[in-house]
Amino acid sequence: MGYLSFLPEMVILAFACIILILDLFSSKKNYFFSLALIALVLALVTIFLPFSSNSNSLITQMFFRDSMAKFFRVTFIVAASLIILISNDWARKSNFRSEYYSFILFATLGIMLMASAGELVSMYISLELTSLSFYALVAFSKGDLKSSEAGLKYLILGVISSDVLLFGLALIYGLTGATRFSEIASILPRTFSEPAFLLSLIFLVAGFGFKIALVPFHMWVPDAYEGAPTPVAAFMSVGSKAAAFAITIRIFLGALAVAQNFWSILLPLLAVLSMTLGNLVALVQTNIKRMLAYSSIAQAGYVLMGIAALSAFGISGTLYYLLAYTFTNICAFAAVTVFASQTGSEEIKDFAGLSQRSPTLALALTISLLSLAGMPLFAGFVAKFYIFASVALQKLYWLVAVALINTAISLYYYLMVVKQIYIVPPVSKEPILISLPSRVALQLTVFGILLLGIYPGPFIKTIGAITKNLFIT
Amino acid sequence: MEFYLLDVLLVLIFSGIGIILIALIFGLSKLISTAKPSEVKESTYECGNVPIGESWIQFRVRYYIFALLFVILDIEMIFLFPWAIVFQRMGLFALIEMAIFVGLLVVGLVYAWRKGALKWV
Repeated sequence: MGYLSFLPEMVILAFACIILILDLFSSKKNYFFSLALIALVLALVTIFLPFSSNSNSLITQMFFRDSMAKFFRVTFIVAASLIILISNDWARKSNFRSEYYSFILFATLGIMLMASAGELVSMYISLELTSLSFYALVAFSKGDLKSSEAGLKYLILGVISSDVLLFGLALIYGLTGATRFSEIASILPRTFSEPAFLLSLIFLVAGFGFKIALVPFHMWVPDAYEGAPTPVAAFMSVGSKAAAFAITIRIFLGALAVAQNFWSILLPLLAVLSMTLGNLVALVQTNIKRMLAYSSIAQAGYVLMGIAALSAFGISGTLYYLLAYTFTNICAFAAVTVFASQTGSEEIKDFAGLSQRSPTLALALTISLLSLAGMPLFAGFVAKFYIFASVALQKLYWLVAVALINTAISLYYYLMVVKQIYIVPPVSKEPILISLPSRVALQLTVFGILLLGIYPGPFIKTIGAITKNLFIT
Repeated sequence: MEFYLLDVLLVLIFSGIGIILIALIFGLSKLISTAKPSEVKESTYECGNVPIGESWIQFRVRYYIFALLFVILDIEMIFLFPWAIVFQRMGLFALIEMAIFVGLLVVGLVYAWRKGALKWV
């Protein structure tokens, strides 16, 4: 009975449908928030139930049930719970509350399946489930022109990138006749010299580059993040990005590991491009969501360095970075959500004097920004250190140098926001109130940032155990 | 490698034959036929009716919603036929499986129904 190991996914799917249906037959609309939270908590509990997944049924061949899948599934459920907590203020004003929460649950289901996909078809289907949910979520502010524009841009570019990816997958299938990653890895060496193989590699890099938002494929990110409801932007920057990274690790280091010589040169190149362009363009942004969008492009560059290191240590760094980034970025976006829902503004200059209007919010935003910049004491520092060390161990010193210069650049624009918060006098003295769910989310994320920054030992140990079994070379 | 190029060559040959054939047919009919254009002959063909205006007009978005719902149920049939064939061998398991699948589709249909997507206004 391999099916029982999919209980968390089934719980989320069932609740997503129940929320949709309940909305049709009840006039009260205020309990969907709690229902969505209950779904995620139940899913989290069921992940840790000891169901065996060793049976050889079809579905357990389609999805990995290994410890890396577990790591990502737990991370995603925690991330989704935090997103739902910060969504409450925003969703209360929407006429489509049940749809919003069920789409968030569908997106969560999609990224959970993506991170555990074990073959090409199930990977593509779960990727589409994620993308379709996010297309709808980005355009969710009906009547807001910016949101509709963002949704349309994201939809068109997303569909094209999915096609490119699908073309790459089809070529790989055509060359090997297999869809499972392990089978592809064993058949692939016979077809190295085919020009079609190189073509498929380019398509795969482009397709995943779009989903991760690496530089030549990043055009959609600022517009989509700016137009999307802020909690959705937070979920995209954390969830779909981490899931795409999980898939990239599985495909490139699992299925295509034997062809390392062909693609290993691309990764450091894309990493350098992403962090440099992301950081430089973030310098001149005036809208905080656009700034965070460019910062997330730069962060993707750092994460990619971990994969480019091509070692188990590097992958551990990647996983740790993604975990730290989840808490850090949700914290930053949560603070922006609270601020924007009270003042209606997302401009950086309006954050002036935030420390006097709401000390809690100011502190949370500052901590998250410092963590994004990679300051010691916070999660971002340990994560960056981990990744840079793994790259240095592979003797890629130039890459470390570029990354360090980039970190220094990024410090400037993060600190400019901190300067607005603490030094520039406020325009209005009106205090900013934080609702209970947002307060809980802020506290949890700040706790996560500090825990991962001050006491990383147990997490590093767990992640080290995951990647030790995973790496094939 | 050689096989690969041979395949491409075959595709090229076939496309060449296709293009030449079509050019030949159209060219021949152009050469042989006599052209006597009149107003009725030049107008847009619209299934027996007298055409009204251009064909580049806005369509009601409702057509797409109906088309979408139709396609979903159509796909359901594609899955139902092979399912019916293996049903005897797989028994109860297949029944539950299909019940879940159809159940998910029913959720979508009920949703569309209650939200008024099936009403023509």
